[in-house]
Parts: sequence; C-alpha cells; structure tokens
Amino acid sequence: MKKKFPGLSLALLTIIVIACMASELLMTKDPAYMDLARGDIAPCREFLFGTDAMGRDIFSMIWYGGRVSLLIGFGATLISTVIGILVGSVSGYGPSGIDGVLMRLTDIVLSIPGLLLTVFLQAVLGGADVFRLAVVIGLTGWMSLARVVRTEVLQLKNTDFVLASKCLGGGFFHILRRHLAPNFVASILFMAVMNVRNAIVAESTLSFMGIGLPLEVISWGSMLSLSENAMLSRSWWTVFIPGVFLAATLLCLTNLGNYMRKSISRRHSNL
Amino acid sequence: MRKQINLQTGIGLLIVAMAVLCTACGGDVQKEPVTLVYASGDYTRINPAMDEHGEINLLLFDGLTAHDGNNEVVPALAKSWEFDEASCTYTFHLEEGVRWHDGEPFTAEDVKFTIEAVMYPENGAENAPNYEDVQEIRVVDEKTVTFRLAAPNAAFLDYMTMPVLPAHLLEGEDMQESDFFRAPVGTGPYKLESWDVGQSIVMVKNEDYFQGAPHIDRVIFKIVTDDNARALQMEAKELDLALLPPKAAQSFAEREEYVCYDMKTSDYRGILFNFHHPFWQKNRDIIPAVCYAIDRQAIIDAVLLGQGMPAYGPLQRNVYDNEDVEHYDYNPQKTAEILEAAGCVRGNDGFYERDGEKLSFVISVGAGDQVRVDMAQAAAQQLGQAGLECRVEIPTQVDWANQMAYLIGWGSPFDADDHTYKVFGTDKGANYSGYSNMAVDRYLLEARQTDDPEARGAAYDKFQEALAKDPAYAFICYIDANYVADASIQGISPDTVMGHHGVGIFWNIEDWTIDR
Repeated sequence: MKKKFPGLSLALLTIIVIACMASELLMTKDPAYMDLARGDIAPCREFLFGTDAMGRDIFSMIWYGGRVSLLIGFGATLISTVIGILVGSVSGYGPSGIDGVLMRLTDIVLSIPGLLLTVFLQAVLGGADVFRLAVVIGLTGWMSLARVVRTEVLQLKNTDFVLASKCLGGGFFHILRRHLAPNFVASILFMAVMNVRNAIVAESTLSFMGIGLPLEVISWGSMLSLSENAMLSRSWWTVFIPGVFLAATLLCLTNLGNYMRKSISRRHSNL
Repeated sequence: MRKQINLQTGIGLLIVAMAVLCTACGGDVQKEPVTLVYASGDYTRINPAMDEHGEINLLLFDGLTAHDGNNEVVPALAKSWEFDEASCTYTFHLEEGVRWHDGEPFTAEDVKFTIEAVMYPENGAENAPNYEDVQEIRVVDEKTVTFRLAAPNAAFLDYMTMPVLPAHLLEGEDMQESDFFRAPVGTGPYKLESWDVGQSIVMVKNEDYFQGAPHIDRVIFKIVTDDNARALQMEAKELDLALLPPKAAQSFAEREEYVCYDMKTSDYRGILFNFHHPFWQKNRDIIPAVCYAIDRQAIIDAVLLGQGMPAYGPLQRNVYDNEDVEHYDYNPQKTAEILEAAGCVRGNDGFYERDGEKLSFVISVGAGDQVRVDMAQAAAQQLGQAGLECRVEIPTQVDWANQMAYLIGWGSPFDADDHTYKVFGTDKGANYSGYSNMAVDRYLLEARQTDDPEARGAAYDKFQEALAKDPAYAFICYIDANYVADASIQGISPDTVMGHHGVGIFWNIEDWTIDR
C-alpha cells in the first residue's frame, strides 16, 4: 500500500522550525520579563496567547522556548546518531570479540530505564544547561540505532565493493564513509527522526519534573511545568498553548518518520 | 379502586422503607468515629525537642505552659508558677493526675529531662539558645520543679511551651536517632495510633486528657506535600482542612461547602545573605541598595494576590514593633545612589561593576515551595532592572555554608525574643547567615534580661534600628496563611496570629467539633 507523502506535516513542521529560529522577529515582548501587575490575562490583542501567572507573554515565550526545545531535540539526535553509528559499525565490522563486548554494553545500557539513566547522568554532569541536557539525552538514546546499524553492516561487510575497498587498502573510516554509511543511512533515517521526537519529549519530562533546565531558561517543557497551577486558577491557556505546539511538532515528526519507514521497507521488499 | 389501593400500599411501604433506612443511617453515623483529615507536610520523625515548627506537636504533646488565642502564655502542664527575683528562680507546680499515653504518670523528672536534653550541646537542638540562661533544674518533689537562671529572661515562660517528653522512654536514648521519635508518646489531646510513613499519621483522642477529652474522635495527618495535590484533594473532599497557596485558596472562596480562613501570620519572607561567602564579605555595604531595589507591593499583588504585608523587619506583628526604622521602600534611584557612592560603575550590559567585577549573585530557593520560587524570581527581575545581576536556583539540597543567598522564612507570633535572639545573634543556633553585629547582640540580650515592658520596648526599638541600618536580610513581606476548611468544622479561631509555615491553627483542637 502506498503511503501518501505527509506534505501537511512537513509544511507545518517547517513553519514551526523557521518561526522558532526567527523568534526575535516574531516576539512582541521580552519572553522572560515578568509584568507582575498583569498575570493570568486571557488571550487578547496585546497578549495574543495570554500571560502566565507571573505576567510573562506566552506568545513570545512559545517561539523563544520552542527554539530551546528544538535545539535540544536536534542536538541530542546528532549526538545519539553519531554514537549509534560508531558503536554499530565498529561492532558489525570489527572482530567478533569487540562485537560481543559492544553489544553486551548496549544491552546493559538498554536495560536501565531511560528516565533513571538520564537523571543519573545529569547528576554526574552537574548543573543543567541546554548543551548538557542535549548531551545527557543524546547519551541515553543511541542504543536501538546502534543495533540497526550493526545488522546492516554485518550484511554489507561481505559485499564485493567493501572487500574490494579493503583489498585496495581502505581504512575503517574511509569504508564507513564511502561504502557503509550511504547504504545504511536510509534505514536509520526513520530512527533519527524519532530520536528528535524522543529528545523533545525527554526535555519536557525533565523540565516538567523540575530537574531539567534552570528556572530562567524557557522551553515548552518548562512552560508546561510552570503552568501546573493553571488547572486551579482556570487559566487554561497557560497549559493549552504550549501543549498544542508540543503535540503538533511531535505529530509532524511522527508522521514524517512513519512515512520514511514505510518507503524504506517498500524499497527493501523490491530487492 | 384496586389500583388506588396498590398505589397507597406502595407509598406506605416506601415511607416505611425510607424510615427504616434513615434510622439505619442515623445509627451508623453515631457509631462511626468523627474524623478530621488534615493535609500535612511529610515527617521523617516527630521530635519536638530538636525540630521546630511541627504542627503535629500541638496534638501529641503539652508544655508546662501554652499559648492562648492571643498568643499569651497560659498554664498547661504547670497549673501555677512563681518567680523569685532575688535568686532568679522559677518554681512550677505541675498538674495532678496527668498520665502519658502509655499510662505512666507524668512527673517533674520528665520536665528536667526534656529541657536538659534540649540544652545539651551535642544534641544540636535548634532551640538550645532559648535556654542558655538556665543554670540549674531541680526536682523538688514529683509535682514541683524549679529553674534557676543566670540572668532574667523575659521570654522564659514562652519557652516553657516546649513539649515535655517522657523520661521513662527516652532515658539513655539518642535524642536524634531514637525510635521513640517514630512512635512518640506524649500527654497531649491526641495519641498516635498508626503511622504509615510517607502516607498518613493517624491519631485518636486521648479520653483521659487532663484538660478534658477532645470532641473529634480521630485526626488524620494525610501526607500531601504538593500544593496542587492538596487543592485537588480538597476539591474531592478527601481533606477537611488544608493550608493552600493564595492562588489555590482563592478558588474555594464563596463556596458554601468550604470556609476560607485567611489568617495573619508572623511569618515573613526575605533574602538571606550568606556573610560567609566572599562576595558579601566584600560587598556587605551595598546590601541597602539591594533592599531599595525590591518593589514589595508588586510582589505581594502578583504572587500572594495581595494577601500579605510589605516587610521591613522581623517584629512587625509584635507589640514591640518599631515603625520608625528605615523601611527601604522601593526606590531604584536610591539603589543607584548607594552603588555609585560605593564606587560601582554601570557596565554596557546594564549591570553595575565594582573593581572590574560584575555585581552578580544567586538566590537559592528550597525545592517544592512555589510561592518562594515566584517571589525570588520577581525579586531577581527587579534587582536586574536596578542594575544588580541576580539569578534564581533550586538546588536539590540547601548548602547553607556555600550558597550566596537564600529565600528565607522566619517569624514567631510569641514573645519578641523568639526568632530574633537565635536568628540574628552572633553564632546562635538558627543564625544561618553568619550575621554578626555587636549592637544587635547587645540589644537582644538587654531585652531578654529585663521583664520591664518599657525597658524591653526601648531595647527592641534599638535592636530594630541597628538591624535596619545593617540589614541581615532584604525583608520582602509577611504572608497570610490561607487555610481552607470544610464548612462543618467549628471552633477554628480566625483571629489568632499564626507562626512560621502557618503553624498554630491546632492550638485549641480539643474544642473543635464537626457536625455533618
């Protein structure tokens, strides 16, 4: 069955990403400024998305905070993908001893609950900022990717072109770059997209629990966490708006990821 | 005709059935114990000798004296006392026939044991400075005990509200670690029935309470630390009484099933400066600039919804309040003047620098108290606008020795000596800021050592002046305690001034009733 290209998701995601990156142009207020006299104002002409309990403008916070959330999402994915590819290809390409050690290590890390591992790593690294949080989330998200890469490399390493390159004196990284990576990149693309999604979720979870970013850094997760009082004060917009943006971004990423998975498996079945 | 009879019989039967059901209900209600569920913070131990501000102490224990609704000292376990000025000795005559919850008789030995345990330096009690004048405690007979003081202490009878602990259970035990503090036995109106750690503490009424058995059969301290969870459980009627933040309490106002008690407290908030930190050792002279940069009313309106009062000192709810000290009302102009007079220069980023170093500090806030977090953030922003860079941090554990500043809360509704002598006196038990000012020390001691109200007033006036000139804290505000109660609870006294963390509402629990 042919899956339709998720054009709407891609367009929406692009708009959100561009808008967040260009947040300076969109913001009508300083997103961190607390206008103490005007807290909990419903969406109106001046505050398009209303204000939170401390009088911060949610419209400005959304774009500004989205940048942090997306930055962590993509940053963590970059880290987890690099680690995953390295571990997976060394494991698949190298001798069986190294393979065994690396795969058991992967199993061990995989067996620790993700949230626990994240909190633990964060404690080791000390205080949290955007960069460190991306590293922590990246370090906890590479395992499945490494396994897929290993499986692909195991199949590829006995192909004629890899053997030829090896005979001609090609080093590991040369072979990885020129021959292995181009052949497995399609199959991990889906996982990478899903990792972006997972990292954004992880950041929101940590910030919501109050162990993520420091107080003054705004992200969608920290906005949700600050608005936990909203249910009682009936200021629905403080929860609803960051929630909608988070959900929309995640939905778009999931749609794109699913599309990639489907198209890859279709191609494989054509072989 | 037939039909009508049927209808009549039917109605008759229904009435009979309802009557039966109703009596059945009535019977059940009478049998079922009357229970009050209160949303409590978590307890790791119940140790009134070592820890302050435990609401539960008022239910389980008694002191020799107690505070009434006006926070005046009244007799409790001691039915009367005399003071001999010449020898500086208090003689307490204890109530007859008082028994511990385990049935053992309460005697003067218990009193001696308790106060000595609090005073013993190695026990490290927060309250030890309250008893530092005590020279000798003598048991005259089973029902008489005397305290000889080194110098007069006007607040001594206030401090005799210290809950008395049973010597027969604690003799030779470790006063910090003993298992007693997880299964406490007192003389109070309620006795511990069960304690499900982290979940709830169940207490049943003490039928033999020496001031008469209380009316409510059971009191359950349900451990609900999260403010939002409290509000939701209040809404779901799982709680009968809870202390809520103003924003949550507001949603219960004007609803028939609930009564909101917005009680005044002596509980203030302020920024504590850690004088052990090199930053404040170098920049102590600019603290007045910090004080002028805080717009207190704006913080009260935004964070407390107006339920509070701007603060300038620690004794504003006390009879000895001195209104004529510097209030440090919001005035960024003055902040600039002080900073410039101290040789600070405003840098390009808008923040002042001194000797090439930016004036920048971090306020730590204890985790879990959203009101304090909000206050600290608002204050930090105001300081930033005035040119002092300030950040807010929530450390997992408070590091009293190395932090730069902390959003502190203190305040006692009782004698002016309480929460001043031990908080601002040099090296005293609760002086977490390392504050030291000779004049402050002198006036605090002077006020403690006289019981002449006029002389005390004069000494506290000077104490407040000295403290205002060299502030230990940037005082922010006094907060009201917003208790929300089920409307069926009768007997809560709305005008009593509460203490730190709103503690004190249970002072007359034995008079409360619930009519459902």
